[in-house]
Amino acid sequence: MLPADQDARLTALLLAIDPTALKGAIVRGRSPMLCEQWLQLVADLMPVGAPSKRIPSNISDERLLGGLDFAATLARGNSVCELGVLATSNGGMLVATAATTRATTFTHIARVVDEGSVRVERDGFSESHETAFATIVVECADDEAAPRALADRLAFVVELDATSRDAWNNSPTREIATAARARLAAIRHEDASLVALARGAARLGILSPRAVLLALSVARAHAALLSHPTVTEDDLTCAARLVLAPRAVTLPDAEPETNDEQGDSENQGPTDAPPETQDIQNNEATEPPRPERDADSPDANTDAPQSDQNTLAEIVVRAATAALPAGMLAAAAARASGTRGTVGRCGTEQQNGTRGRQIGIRRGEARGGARLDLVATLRASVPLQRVRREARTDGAQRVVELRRDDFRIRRCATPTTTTTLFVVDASGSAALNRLAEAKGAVELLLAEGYARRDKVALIAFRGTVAELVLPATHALARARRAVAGMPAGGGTPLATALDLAATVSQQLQRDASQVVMVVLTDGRANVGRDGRGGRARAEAEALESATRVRALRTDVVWIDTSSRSEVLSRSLADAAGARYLLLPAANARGMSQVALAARSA
Amino acid sequence: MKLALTLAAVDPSIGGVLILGDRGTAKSTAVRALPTLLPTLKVVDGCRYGCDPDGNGSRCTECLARVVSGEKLHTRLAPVPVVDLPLGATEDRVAGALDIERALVRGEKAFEPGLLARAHRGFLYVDEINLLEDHLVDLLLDVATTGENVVEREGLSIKHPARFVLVGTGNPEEGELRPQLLDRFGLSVEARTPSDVAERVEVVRRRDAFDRAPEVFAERFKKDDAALRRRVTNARAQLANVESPDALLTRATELCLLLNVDGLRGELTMLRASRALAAYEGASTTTMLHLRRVAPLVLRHRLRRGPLDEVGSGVRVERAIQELFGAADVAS
Repeated sequence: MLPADQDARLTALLLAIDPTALKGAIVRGRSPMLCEQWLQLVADLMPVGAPSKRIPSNISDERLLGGLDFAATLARGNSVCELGVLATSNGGMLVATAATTRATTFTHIARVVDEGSVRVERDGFSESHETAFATIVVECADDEAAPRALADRLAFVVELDATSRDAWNNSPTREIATAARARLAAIRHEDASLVALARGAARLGILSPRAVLLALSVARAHAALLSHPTVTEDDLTCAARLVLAPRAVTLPDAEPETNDEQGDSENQGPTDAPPETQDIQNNEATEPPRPERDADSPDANTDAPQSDQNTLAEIVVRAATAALPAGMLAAAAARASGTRGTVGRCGTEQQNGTRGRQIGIRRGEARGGARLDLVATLRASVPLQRVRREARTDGAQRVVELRRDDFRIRRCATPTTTTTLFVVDASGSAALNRLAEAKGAVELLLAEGYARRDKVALIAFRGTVAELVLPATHALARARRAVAGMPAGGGTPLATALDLAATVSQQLQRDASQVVMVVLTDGRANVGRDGRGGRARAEAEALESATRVRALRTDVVWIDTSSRSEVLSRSLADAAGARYLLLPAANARGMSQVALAARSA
Repeated sequence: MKLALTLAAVDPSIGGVLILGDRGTAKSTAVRALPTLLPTLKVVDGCRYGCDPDGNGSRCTECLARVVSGEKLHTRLAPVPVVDLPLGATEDRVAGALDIERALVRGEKAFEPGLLARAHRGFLYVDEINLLEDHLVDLLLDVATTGENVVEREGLSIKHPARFVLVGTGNPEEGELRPQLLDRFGLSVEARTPSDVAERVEVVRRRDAFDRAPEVFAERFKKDDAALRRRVTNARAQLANVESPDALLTRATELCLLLNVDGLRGELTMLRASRALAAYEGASTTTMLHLRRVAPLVLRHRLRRGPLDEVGSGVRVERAIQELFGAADVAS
């Protein structure tokens, strides 16, 4: 039997012993079947009668948090609050699928996990319901991960692989879990155990204090399982393996400097995230003493002998390190290094859209494409029927007294795609090597965008014409071919190019796509709209077109390909409302980063 | 973070506090601690909106009616409200709406005040403010600008004062904040996990102690809390007496110009914040040292960001300060 299988069983057992303190788990598995089996295992071990609920992907806030119970309210004649799924899951488990669940749903769950209660400020209710449960997030495919804010709050990450299935045949029984649960309250732990876990976590580069608290709870549950009266070394080892190891960012021997950097860049999310944290951290990085030294320094708060704590911490670190599969730290480092920006923003949704799936309702009128939610509108009007009937003076009898205040419209979330539109100057004046760099940047963005399901489009201009060489596409191979085969030479019809860019952007925006325009040019316009030469007129026209681009309110990055900053190019960029960038400051990678920064802004 | 919250407690006119930070940096915990640190408030007895008995600023319509009818308003002491606005809140609960229960049962039209009314003269706390729905953000902006909440519903026309310190926390990883909202915050701080191991051990130990026995834990820190509360109370009383030399304002303006900060809110907030700090520390005049300490809090979120800025705004503020104030001889 592989250790991983044992761990899968053990985590299920521990989770069932203390669901409320351990908060839950992230379950990863290639096959949904396997995940289901594990969930069943947990459910079987949970206390008899404990709720086990599943969150539908499109659950409304109302169902999740609670709100007015419409039917009961009408039947009884006074307002009745209906509990949401979060409140009714108290003491049990709640299962969500990472790929389909809305981000806000996860945020609500995270909040409840923190507070141990759900606040209802809805439909005239102001209530708070205590609830605590184990949240289990299933990540079946590779592409969608649970939000880190939630993952941080859950004790386990369970990796399931195909071999696991048979190992579960001799599963632990509910009796074992129940007996352990009964022992749990009496378990004591020494302060030294806590210190050891905290130090161990620090050495592994784990920044969040929550990890330590969760590890402690795991150690306690483990102690209860093995009938230890207090938390022992054995329990700590288990906690280190199950809780700390999956969160480790650095090997314990690494320099503290890297600790800071990696842990820090992890919070850098989008590429545009404020880099100040990192800078400050870097400045401070020289200050914090190395963990080893720190361990020797006197610690006023500890009563236990230092040497003991150090050995215990060492054991914790070793247990966690041993559990690290090869290559996992590399993955963690890659995740934290920040070059990739966010982990796929294909889930980005445009809130308050009028299309896409419904994410909620709001008061408002069905104008500008907004759709009226009839049921919600009627619901809103129901409590006020009596008031309105009595207020009526003309004696008219209406079946339903509707007022404008009742109108509820649907709030929808449209998944937005981002299209990066390159406008590339392929004229003779734009030096050929610049064009090569532009091509390089396009290719880089293509590769990155592909992972994120972004689109790329390309306009090239030279001689007298501007041409949409590459309409917005996901097709990587096709885009590569188009870029590679782009010829160069001739005049610079900048105005024509910008006009075309504006038109294309408009079309893309109409298709609910977010556009980032990247213009690469030296700005030396010398061909007018009509295809005739003449620098002065061409420049004036270019300026005019740049203003038109600005009116689109898209993100524009203007990359000046001349070797020195040109006043003209700069003023064109300003007119277009663009971020201006001189190419020598940006190689292909730099450029793609700017574009990415623009898209996430 | 603690400094920023304390300053806002001393002088609410500084504006809100924005706390950004990574997971597990006790953002929410710090805000929840506020009520214990705040002195009690005098409010009109029986007023649903928590009006000031002295009538500073505006009164709600109900109190006004009572004054007009010659009734004497009684005063009662109440804790400063720290109202939590959860993400899933609906508009009717935030702004207030018709009392459904009464409408249903008795057919009466009665206004049920919402969270904004409850937060009057206190704090309104929005966790994960960057994820707040747009129409609620609009509502907050409106009320924050005017200091009044206006509800027109069902022939009821209610207007009541709602002045509060907005405290928002968020993780920038999860979403950007709208610029208008960003601008409403007087101070912003970046919460970080302590990098010192001993400190982190203590954090975990305290939290563990709290989880096991909250009452015992509260008892342990009761004295500290009370001391802090006294200090805030004194600082509030002193606030009006703190003088700020003109040179200070000049320096604040220079700093804003150097950093290219839009609008005048930067200077104004810096002035107020340094005054609050001086009052908190028992000084009778604000000094450059005070200014220097509050400047990063005030300015960090007001900088325009360039496309390829290698350095973060925090560092840029720090550099500008260095430039203006000379080498750092300040131990804060």
